[in-house]
Amino acid sequence: MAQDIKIVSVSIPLKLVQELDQVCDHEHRNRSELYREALRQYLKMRRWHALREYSAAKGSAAGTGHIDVEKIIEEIAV
Amino acid sequence: MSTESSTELIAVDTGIWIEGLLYGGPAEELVKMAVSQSIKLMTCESMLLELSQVLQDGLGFSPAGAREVCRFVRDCAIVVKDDEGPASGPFDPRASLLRMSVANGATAIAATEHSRLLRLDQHEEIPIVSIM
Repeated sequence: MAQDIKIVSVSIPLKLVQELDQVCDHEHRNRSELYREALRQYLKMRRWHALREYSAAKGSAAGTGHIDVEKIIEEIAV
Repeated sequence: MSTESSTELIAVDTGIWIEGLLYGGPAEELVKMAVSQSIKLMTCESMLLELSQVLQDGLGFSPAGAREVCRFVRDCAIVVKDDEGPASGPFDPRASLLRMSVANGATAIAATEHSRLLRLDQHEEIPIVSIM
């Protein structure tokens, strides 16, 4: 387990740390857990935005409107 | 994903993922809520297969692009096997939405934009709703 974790040091404004500590108290979790969760969410959101950009371009290229989605699924899916 | 039992579980089908990806709107909001762990989304293996197929064959996604979408779905939703719940005829991802909704006793609603499913209104007391 320890081999999968790297300890890093980052600088965070005091006010943000205080706010985070309040959340830690409220949720009975430690700082590391909350930092990890926030990072995971941030990275997932970045992936989603990249996929959205790619997908919107594909949708525009295909000229697909809202009402066509069901039709495409019916035609393509086995 | 959070394992808190109080988080609402919403079964979604292929159309919801495609709506969110292509057009944003309420379907995208569902995905964002799942990322922030406000809700849990559930889909199944046959729908992931269908999603990949529709993205590539119907919308011109590259195989790598479709794979990345499916990886993302696996990371932000619960993906169940299709054999969970009673079999109800031939392979059909739309039937899968109903099966997985019932098989997982905690499903709050089943979200779809599929007109035939929406006409059912509910399935074994699980509301079938449009999010648009």
